[in-house]
Amino acid sequence: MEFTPLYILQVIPELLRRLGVTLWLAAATMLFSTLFGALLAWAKLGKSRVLRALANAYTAVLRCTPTLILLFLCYYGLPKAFAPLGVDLNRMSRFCYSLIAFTLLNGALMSEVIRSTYESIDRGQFEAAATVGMTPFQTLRRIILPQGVYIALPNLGTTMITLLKEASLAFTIGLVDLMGQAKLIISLRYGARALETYLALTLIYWALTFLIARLVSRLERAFGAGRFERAREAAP
Amino acid sequence: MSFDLDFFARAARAVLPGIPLTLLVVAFSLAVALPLGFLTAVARAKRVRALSPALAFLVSLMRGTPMIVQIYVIYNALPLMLSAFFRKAGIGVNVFDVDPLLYALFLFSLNTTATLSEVFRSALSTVGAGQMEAALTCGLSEAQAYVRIVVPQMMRAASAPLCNAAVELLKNSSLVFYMGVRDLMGIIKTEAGIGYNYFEGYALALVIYLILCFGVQGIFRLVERRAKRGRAAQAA
Repeated sequence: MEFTPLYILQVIPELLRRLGVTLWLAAATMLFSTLFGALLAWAKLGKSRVLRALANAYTAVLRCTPTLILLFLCYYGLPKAFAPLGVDLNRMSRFCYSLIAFTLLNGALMSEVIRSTYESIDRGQFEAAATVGMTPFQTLRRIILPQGVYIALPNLGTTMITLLKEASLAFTIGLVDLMGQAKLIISLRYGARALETYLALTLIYWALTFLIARLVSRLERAFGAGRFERAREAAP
Repeated sequence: MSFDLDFFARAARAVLPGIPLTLLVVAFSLAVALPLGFLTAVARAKRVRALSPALAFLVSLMRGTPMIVQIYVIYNALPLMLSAFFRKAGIGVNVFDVDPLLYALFLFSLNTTATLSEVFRSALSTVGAGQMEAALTCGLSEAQAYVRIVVPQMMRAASAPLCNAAVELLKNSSLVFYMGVRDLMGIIKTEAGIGYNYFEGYALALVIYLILCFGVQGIFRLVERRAKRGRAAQAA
């Protein structure tokens, strides 16, 4: 066994061929888990005691569930659960299984992001919007969301990076994303140059998380720009 | 949907010896990472030349890449490095005899150190610089000032993220199985493989992780409550 640093660079293009799968999975999960998280947050902030307890219990359990176990439970459990209904899920793609597992997991995180953002917005904003005759939906779209996005951005960035990292476990149920591609390349070479391949993978993931962090701080500046000007004008 | 309860009970007994191993990984990593993470945070805050950028690089690498990739890198790199070292030092130990648990302890300690250093870094910034200056003016040494003045105040901001880090560590420890450590995930996989009881197996794993995780959170809540009582007594 010997170490050939040059191979790290050579294998990167081969790995990047599956970058799309990783990014698609992350993006689709982000979309669905935001919707699911919003639903959970709505339940947590709502008046119904039962819904609130259910949403809180769900979040507490999912926060303590290792990703690996949730993936396996979905992969082995969903076909079992749906079989009596006459639905055959055995042909469902691994991508779909991964998407479901990560949406369940990330939805819990997103619900907390959304809930804390909503609570951090001043009550007076809602009242003021109602006073000028806005409907609840208009209030949400024009008043709450623009402020909320700015407040939520740091948390959103952390959640996205966590998701990207956790999503690398989808290879355990056979999805060929970046990580799966690395495993495939190594097994095609009968285990040779495993270290170099994983180091290349390290570089790729590192670059991805770095880019997300940069993007989020850019957005923060963009959304914050108007905010600080207004604050300065308001200051005596 | 059929749920094999017999298997569940049988596997639960078989898996018990695997639990201390998981707890060992968590406890050892925390024991190493608490002091090292704090020292890293202090070194970075003081901007020690050469050391601070190197630490920042390591922390970013550890925080920016998936745990599973780190596991595979260490699993492939450490034996290579160790065998070279053993040969140079003339130690007649075969690297393949080294218990993979040692690799796991090494990696999880390093990773947790990186996580905790970020926790302590932001917690340190919540303590005003004046506290340190005042302590030094009173004639305390720098070490005394940290131990008696800064750290107790810092812990108020650090306790919640510390709990999160411990939970994250516990969940990630389900991955040591991929380093060849036969922890509870490994035991469950073999038990479940005999009769294709994967769903029951991973449901059992989930139950165990939930219990452990709620246990960790309970311990943190207990310590926090005691600390709060101490603060209240001082204030009175």
